[in-house]
Amino acid sequence: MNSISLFFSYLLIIVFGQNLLFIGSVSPEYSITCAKKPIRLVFTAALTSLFTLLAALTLLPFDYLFPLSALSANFAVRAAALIAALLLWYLAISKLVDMLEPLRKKLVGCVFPAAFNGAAIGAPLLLWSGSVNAPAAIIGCALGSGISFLAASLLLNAGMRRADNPDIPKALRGTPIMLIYIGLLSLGFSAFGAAL
Amino acid sequence: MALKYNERSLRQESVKEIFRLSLRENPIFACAAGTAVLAGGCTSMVNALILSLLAFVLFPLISAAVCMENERLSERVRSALFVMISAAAVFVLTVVLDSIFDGTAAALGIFAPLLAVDTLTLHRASPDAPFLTRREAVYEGLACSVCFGGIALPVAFIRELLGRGALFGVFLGFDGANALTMPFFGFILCGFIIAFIRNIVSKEQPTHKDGRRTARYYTDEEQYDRAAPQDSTDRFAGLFPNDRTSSDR
Repeated sequence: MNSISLFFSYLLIIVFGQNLLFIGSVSPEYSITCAKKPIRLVFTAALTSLFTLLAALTLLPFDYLFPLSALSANFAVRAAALIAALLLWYLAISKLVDMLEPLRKKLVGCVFPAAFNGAAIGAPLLLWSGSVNAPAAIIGCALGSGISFLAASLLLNAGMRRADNPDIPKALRGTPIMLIYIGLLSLGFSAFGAAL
Repeated sequence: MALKYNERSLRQESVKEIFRLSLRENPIFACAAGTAVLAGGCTSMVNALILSLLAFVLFPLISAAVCMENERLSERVRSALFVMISAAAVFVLTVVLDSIFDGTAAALGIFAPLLAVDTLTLHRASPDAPFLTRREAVYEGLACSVCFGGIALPVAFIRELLGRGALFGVFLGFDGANALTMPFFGFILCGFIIAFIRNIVSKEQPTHKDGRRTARYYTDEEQYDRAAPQDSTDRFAGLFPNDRTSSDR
């Protein structure tokens, strides 16, 4: 498979795979905040892709270098290493954002949700589970995690605006109907995912 | 959802009361936090029990850490610290459980690390969390983990039974519908179970012993009116966190 098709395959796999669980969405509260300024969602999605890429690249030595590869055979160790890598990248990038005034204005409040949403954590772990380390696949996954975050947040937003509709039975209003809505979306994504 | 800063009466409430209030209003019910882990990870009773155990340790731990840290660190470092604590706790617990019950880490897959950075866990570090006393925070964390377990176990029970025809990994003699172990069914089940639990707990209007409603269930306007001294022009007295005294912690 050439690099371009590998890139697009993994991009789609991550977008549909992660949105089976909507792990890309940070929290409805954050999505609501971002909905007022949709450009913030785009910035957060871009940062999510960046963090996913950096985390996946940081974990590459765990595939090749002997003591690390032996250690990371345990999934818990691998996950801990991933979160440690994300923490370091988060501290470095948030420091950088704080130092540069133009960036700070645009990205304030976006860095933490981007670094620690499910998409940034899930994609590198899914890559490792599938023993994927081809550059095109890693870049595809990184971009896919940003897109999956964006898609999840936009879809959740659309649902949340309708979750308090008075026509919905009182017991189901709010969170329960949101979850049923997410379940139906997830069913749709799983249909697309199966096609992949 | 959050405790109101000016509501000092809540600080004298019993453990039972804190539990009751936290069970009624918590991040799972209010904003569907943690449902990705519930829908994805709770496909079997064993997984649900392990995730509930992780939550039972993790939530009070993070709550206590938030109270102890008490906003001494910068926001950037503070957030990283809480992620580090929750990730370390999940790592240690997973390794310990894996050594006792072989294959635990593999069975949980990405859901244990996801729980460590989930909104449900990091919600404990929300901006109003440091204004709780340590006791309140720990009990709220425990109540939240009870709520998590209360949803996780029935979800896992139904999905394992109907999806695999098994319980606790023991085959019961009939084939399940495999599709029901997929996340979509988990979300839908979570929705109905949350509606069911919320319906039960909301029948009872929480009140103080003297018949007043408790703080969390006042609307913003009611909070404002209650906080406003009747014979004073300072209508904002007591509304802001800085009004707290150190003895409130």
